[in-house]
Amino acid sequence: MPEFQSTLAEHFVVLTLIPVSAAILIALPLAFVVYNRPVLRSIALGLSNIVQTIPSLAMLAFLLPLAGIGKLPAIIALTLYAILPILQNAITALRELPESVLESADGIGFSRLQRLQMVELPLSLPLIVGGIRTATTICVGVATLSTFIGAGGLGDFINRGLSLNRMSLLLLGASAAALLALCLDFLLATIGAALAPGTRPARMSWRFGFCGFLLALLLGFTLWPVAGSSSQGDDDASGLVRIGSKNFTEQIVLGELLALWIEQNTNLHVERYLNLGGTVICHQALTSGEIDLYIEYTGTALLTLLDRPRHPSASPEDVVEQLNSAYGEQYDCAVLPPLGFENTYALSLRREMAEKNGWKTISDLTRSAPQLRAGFTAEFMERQDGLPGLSEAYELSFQSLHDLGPELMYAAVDSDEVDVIGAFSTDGRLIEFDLAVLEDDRRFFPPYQAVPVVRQESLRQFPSLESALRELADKIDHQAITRLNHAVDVEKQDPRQAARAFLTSELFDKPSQSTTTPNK
Amino acid sequence: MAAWSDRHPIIFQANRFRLLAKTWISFGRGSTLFSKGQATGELLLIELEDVTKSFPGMEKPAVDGVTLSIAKGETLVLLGSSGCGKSTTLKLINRLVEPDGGMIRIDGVSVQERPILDLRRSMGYVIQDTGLFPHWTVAENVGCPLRIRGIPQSERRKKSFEMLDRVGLPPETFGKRYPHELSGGQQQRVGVARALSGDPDILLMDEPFGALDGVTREALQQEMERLRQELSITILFVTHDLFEALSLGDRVGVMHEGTLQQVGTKAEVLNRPATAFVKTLFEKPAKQLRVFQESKEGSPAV
Repeated sequence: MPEFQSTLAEHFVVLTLIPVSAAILIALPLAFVVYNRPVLRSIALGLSNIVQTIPSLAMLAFLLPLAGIGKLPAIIALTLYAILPILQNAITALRELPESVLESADGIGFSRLQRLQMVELPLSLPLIVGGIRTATTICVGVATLSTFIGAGGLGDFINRGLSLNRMSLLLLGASAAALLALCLDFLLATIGAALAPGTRPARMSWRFGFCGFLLALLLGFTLWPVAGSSSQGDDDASGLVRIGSKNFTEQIVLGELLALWIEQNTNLHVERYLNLGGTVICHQALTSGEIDLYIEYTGTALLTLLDRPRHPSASPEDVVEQLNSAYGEQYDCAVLPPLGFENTYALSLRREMAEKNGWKTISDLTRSAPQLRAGFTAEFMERQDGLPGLSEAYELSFQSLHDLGPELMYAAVDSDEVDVIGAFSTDGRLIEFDLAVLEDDRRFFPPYQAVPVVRQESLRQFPSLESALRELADKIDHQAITRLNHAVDVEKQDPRQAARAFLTSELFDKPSQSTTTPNK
Repeated sequence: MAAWSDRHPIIFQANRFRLLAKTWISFGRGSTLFSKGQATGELLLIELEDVTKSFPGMEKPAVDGVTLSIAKGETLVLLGSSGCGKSTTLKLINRLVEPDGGMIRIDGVSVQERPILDLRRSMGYVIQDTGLFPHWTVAENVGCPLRIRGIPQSERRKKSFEMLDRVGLPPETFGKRYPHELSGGQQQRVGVARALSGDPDILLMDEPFGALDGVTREALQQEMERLRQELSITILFVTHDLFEALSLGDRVGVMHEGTLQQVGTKAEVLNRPATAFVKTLFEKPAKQLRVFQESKEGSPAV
């Protein structure tokens, strides 16, 4: 629950209050400057309209190279979105003030500033507050997407719920965001109504009462954990390591595992930027210094990130070495020894079908492929080290191709909707659905060994980090990672719980000893 | 049943005629006040000299060579149909509109040389739509000319209560109300109280009663007449209503298409129209008035 509270607080304060306030500070003065200047007005409204039409995810992607990941780009994006409704309403309000009121203000001898302060601003406030209401609702909603660039907020629950296939988490995030939006909307609606010219606030007492109740609830609920955690963070003299991960189960579990491991074996603090996004987002986060490390797969790094040709003869050890020097030259990062398993693509099918036909390798499929229905992820169908290359290497052509998400793929093959899928070799659902994996007998798929990729700067700064990570080498084998994936995907364990259970019970039975070593 | 008879259209028209007839009789008897365009009094307060104003996109100037003077304590009514330039002429005086040419002086000083806010704060301004501030109470509205000069709250309150009393709105009842809680006539009374609260020398009134119904309007006109006598303030009153012009002003200026056709006492404009326009304007009501007078008193008044 404290996690929920701090996430809600983050969503409310960082991803709503700050961007909306920033947008007010930008939009209101702008409105006063442009409202009676037709050219400037259409430029300002046009620009903010264009910003509004950019889809949220595209906006976050645009900001990625400029502001990196984390809270800053999310705040920038949300502020940009919040500007239009406030600006538009403020301009409309100012332009539609009754001519007679302005004329009499001038005739009576109000100075320009007095007119603005005493007449124009108070009279436009209800409509301006209406704009702020719209902006707030937009912010609360769009903010759920900023989880994709590691900005936190309630979107974390939604995203985690989606990628872990956990409906309760998804609903928790979504309904909390909806409730937050409703509460804030009601608060602002009441403020707007109270500001309407000639309103007697005394007649709205029940609304004020309810607003006070909502506000107290919201502040009480959100600020308590913030106050609690700030005292913790202050005595952090030992350094901070930020761990990122991609957006699927195995990566999240590995992120947690690494985080726990570092916390147990060093006196470093760990900040988790898990579930960041796809490969490219993690890579950019690393190279721009937003995170210190994440787990990459050697094949992906080689072909997708570094765009290096593949030598089929190269051994896995050679590939790690090659990667290490390439990362060092290009990005000032280091590749540490592999964790001990490979997560490669694997063609997979129902066991009874494989046994009936006696299929053991991918080559065995070549002849029967025209009668088979295949299901692959969109990424697999596009990547050169995916279906295009595979079809060429094995002369495969399937009867039909189905574009399936990783969540659906395993169930689809199990229920006989497709015959073959492009599975991930470590996926726990291979065990759950008892699927057979065909051997890559022509060695088409490059080695996809899991390796930590770390910024050199962080290694120099925290020597204990490197030794801790090196200690993990070869400690997680294929069976172990598959079991971890199974625990989260199928048994619905929390990733952190699963990682902790693995660390304490299975391999490293020394947490009590190492937690006492930090010097405090 | 005063309420019924006041509202009955025929009786109402008759009332208007009665008011006009009073005027008619008064100048019929002793018509000694004559002058052309010049105020009779010795103290010239407002002088307009060959003032011209054109608005972009308009063929003819809105105000075309208007020369006019208003004496201290006098009420001058500018009469004309809509678009004749009467409102623009009024706004030239408090510089809501700046002239293209000519000279406007108040007490011998060009208005262009005075700081604009001082100038405006020295005049009261009343407009047809009242222009009351909807977010302020009646008392706050009335006190606002003092507020913008930084006069403290207690003094403002005292003054605005005094002014509300003066325009016939008990301050205890009306002070705390908002403008939208008042009738049209009451709102315009507040507008007048607001214009007077800064103790102005000059009151500019731009069709102040134009949006009101006949009965309310007449009541306010009478109220105005009373205030005028009490305050001895200089008033420039703009209207398109003939009867209003003839019943309120000391002198009447008739405007048509930007030019000032004639300025003079009521008797002058009625008896000796200077232009064909003025003649046609007053022909019909003058005739009606004669008929009215004949039927009432047996013989024409003139």
